[in-house]
Amino acid sequence: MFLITLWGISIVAFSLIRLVPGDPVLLLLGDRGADPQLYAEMKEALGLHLPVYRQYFEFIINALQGNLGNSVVSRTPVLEEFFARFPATLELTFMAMLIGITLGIPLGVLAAINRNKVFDYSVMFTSLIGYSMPIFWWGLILIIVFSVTLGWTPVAGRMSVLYDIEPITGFMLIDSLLQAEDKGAIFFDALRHLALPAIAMGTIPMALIARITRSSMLEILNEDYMLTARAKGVSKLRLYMIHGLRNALIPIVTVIGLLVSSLVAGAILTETIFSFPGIGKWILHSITARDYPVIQGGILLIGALVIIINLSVDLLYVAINPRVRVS
Amino acid sequence: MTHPLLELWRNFSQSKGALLGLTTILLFFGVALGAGVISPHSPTLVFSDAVLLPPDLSSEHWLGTDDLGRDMLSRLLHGARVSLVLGILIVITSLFFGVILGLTAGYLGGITDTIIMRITDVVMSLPSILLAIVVVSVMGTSLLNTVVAISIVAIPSFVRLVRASVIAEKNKNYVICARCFGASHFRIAFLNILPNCIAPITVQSTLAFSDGILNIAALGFLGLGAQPPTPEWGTMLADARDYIVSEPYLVVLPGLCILTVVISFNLVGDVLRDCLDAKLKKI
Repeated sequence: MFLITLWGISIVAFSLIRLVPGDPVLLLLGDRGADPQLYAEMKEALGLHLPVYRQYFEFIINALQGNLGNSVVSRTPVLEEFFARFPATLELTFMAMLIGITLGIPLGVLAAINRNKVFDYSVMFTSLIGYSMPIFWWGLILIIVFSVTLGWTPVAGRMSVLYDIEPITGFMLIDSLLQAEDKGAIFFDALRHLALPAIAMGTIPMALIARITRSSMLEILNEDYMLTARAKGVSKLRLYMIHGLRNALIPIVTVIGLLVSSLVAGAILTETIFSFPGIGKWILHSITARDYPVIQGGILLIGALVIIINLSVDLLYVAINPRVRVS
Repeated sequence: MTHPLLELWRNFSQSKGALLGLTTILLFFGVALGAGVISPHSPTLVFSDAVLLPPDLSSEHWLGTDDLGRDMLSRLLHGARVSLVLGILIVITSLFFGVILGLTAGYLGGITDTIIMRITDVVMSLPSILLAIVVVSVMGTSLLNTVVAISIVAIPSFVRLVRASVIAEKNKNYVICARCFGASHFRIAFLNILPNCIAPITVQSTLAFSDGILNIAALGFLGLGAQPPTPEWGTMLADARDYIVSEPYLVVLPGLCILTVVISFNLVGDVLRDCLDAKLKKI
């Protein structure tokens, strides 16, 4: 079933690119396209001389062998380009989710416990603003406040030019700690670069997680076993955390799973605003540059990524919900 | 026995937030309709001797002017027109196709259902804005193509929702009854089942509107939506990026408009869902 979806994505990726008006060969060659021999050579190099079904067939065969073609602009393999930028996006997404989860869940739990009190209303109101937020604007506002006015954080990139470190894992926070010297300063520098994009990207997940945690907790708080637990004198912390939150977790995980696709969308906008060198900026740039192999391969890879993450959320679901495991 | 709509209004109007949201929406629609009359200047008129004026309520330009010397207030007011009109078009388009596809999938079932739902899965597993960007770059940037691209992205959630409600309804007695009377499939699907799915569709339409507004602005911001000099909030934000240090109000104002509209629609949608859900539960 997931393979069918992936196959569908490959068709979308393949055909969208071919629907683009204009001749990609002419676009690449520019004025030199007037030379018929050069034109034919280029067309053959791109594989565009074959009939469309053969092109698709080649695309699939190559993709299955891990070859998504080369970028027309940089001439490097698409897969290589993808994996060079993937850690940046992963690091950013991870931090954003970390913010979303570590703030969203406690806020939601506290709001549910203090239902209809001032705290509850303020959490719900903040959450409403949060998930209505145009993320690209929020990023700019954060830059105005923290970078321009307060001067706490840098405006763009992942690392100051001062620390030109060789990527080891590709995750700047880890790489900085693997450095021989100055690791503290470099780590802090990477963190400062990551902070604003992660906050911008984590806002919508945080708001949604807080909301769903609250409503899920409210439902659980009405359960009989909560009354039983309270009656037998379970401590408040244990009551809310073990008896309450653990049972409320299932819808929360579902929402987190549903967020994945919108997170990638958020990454595209966030990376653009903060000039953060990740997948989102890469694919957007290749779209403006009409770098067809990159767009085609990038869509396929992003689609595959979303499918894989959704699959792992399903597995996580089984792990936290014994009822599914038994049936 | 009160009319169901009257009852819905009674429940709905109990929420102050919902009323506030509704008032704001109506206000924005009023602005959109009357933008030509109430705005002090033309949104594209250039005041070359008044470039980058800060907001000042005592001056001719209440909210200042942008980098080309165009009146910010007028541009923001006309921006409401662009966003709301495009938003309506997006909701109508995605609603139309979403209902037809969802109804077909849910009512017919079988292979039709499988095919429609697989396609929906494919569209849904691609990030919405990415798909919209690619569609726009395939078709070229224009307001109409913005609508098409964002509608395509918005259709799947309608399809899923309508399909789920149709499946829940289609084995109820009134449908079987209609079938016994010899009603055609078309009649059963559109005249018997569809009216009973209207509640979730209404809620989804409200939320699709706010999503649509966000996506329009995002495309505009990326330079792939409305093109200058069209006064569109996202495009205005993109233009203002260069002045983020010196003239932050150029960035703040259009974003506040987007945020306000989106919040209002989400407020109304949320309360509407609560009201309609409670009604469903009562039955």
